[in-house]
Amino acid sequence: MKLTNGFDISASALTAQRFRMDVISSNIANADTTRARTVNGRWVPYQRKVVVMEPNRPTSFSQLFQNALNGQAGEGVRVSRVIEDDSPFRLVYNPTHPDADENGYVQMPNVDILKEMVDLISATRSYEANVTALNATKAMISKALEIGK
Amino acid sequence: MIDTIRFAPAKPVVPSGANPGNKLGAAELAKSFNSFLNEAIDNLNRQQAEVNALNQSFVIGEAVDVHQLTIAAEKAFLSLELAVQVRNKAIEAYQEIMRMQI
Repeated sequence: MKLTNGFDISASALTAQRFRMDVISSNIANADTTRARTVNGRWVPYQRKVVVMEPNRPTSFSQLFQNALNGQAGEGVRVSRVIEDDSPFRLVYNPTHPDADENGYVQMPNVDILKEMVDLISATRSYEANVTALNATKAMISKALEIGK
Repeated sequence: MIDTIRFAPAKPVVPSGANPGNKLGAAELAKSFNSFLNEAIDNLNRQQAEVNALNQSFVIGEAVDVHQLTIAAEKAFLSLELAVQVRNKAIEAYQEIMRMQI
């Protein structure tokens, strides 16, 4: 059994949380972006992005076989895809805005800053939790090396 | 990685199939222990080199996550600790033998 399995599992989670943090930052940064892309010649605002994670299962037979040989327990995590939130855009009355429609309303991104802030804290805490798990694994291995000292 | 240095060598230092009556030469024994130790040191070296490469790419601003760097360093540190413990045991055993009255 591999001694540093726990390290690799925690490391994959750290990478995933970092990625989630990047996506949340992108949502916050684009909270006022009205021109993300064009659809039929019309500007469409930025759509909120959400990260989907999945367990890091081996995809090939050789990997699966190797894991079984090593007695590998548990699996890491990876980001499977980033989906776009389909909830409706916010309508803000602002007739002076260049992207306002004939009634003076502007479509703003469906990003809710409060929600993003909560997600941000959640990602930070998840990162911390994984660092703690990693440190616990390291402490365990260090203790094992102290046997017989 | 650290797992390639095992507490019990993958190949027993003294072949388990050899019957006790069949004398195993001291030179042979030393050679197999030597190869085991060499392999462990090689692995350690490779790991240090890996950390070094990561460090370099981090410093010149390539896309390396900070945690990748620190985790690689931790792995190398634990490998070193393991190697030191194995060395301590080996030297202890050697000194014990050398203290023998002839």
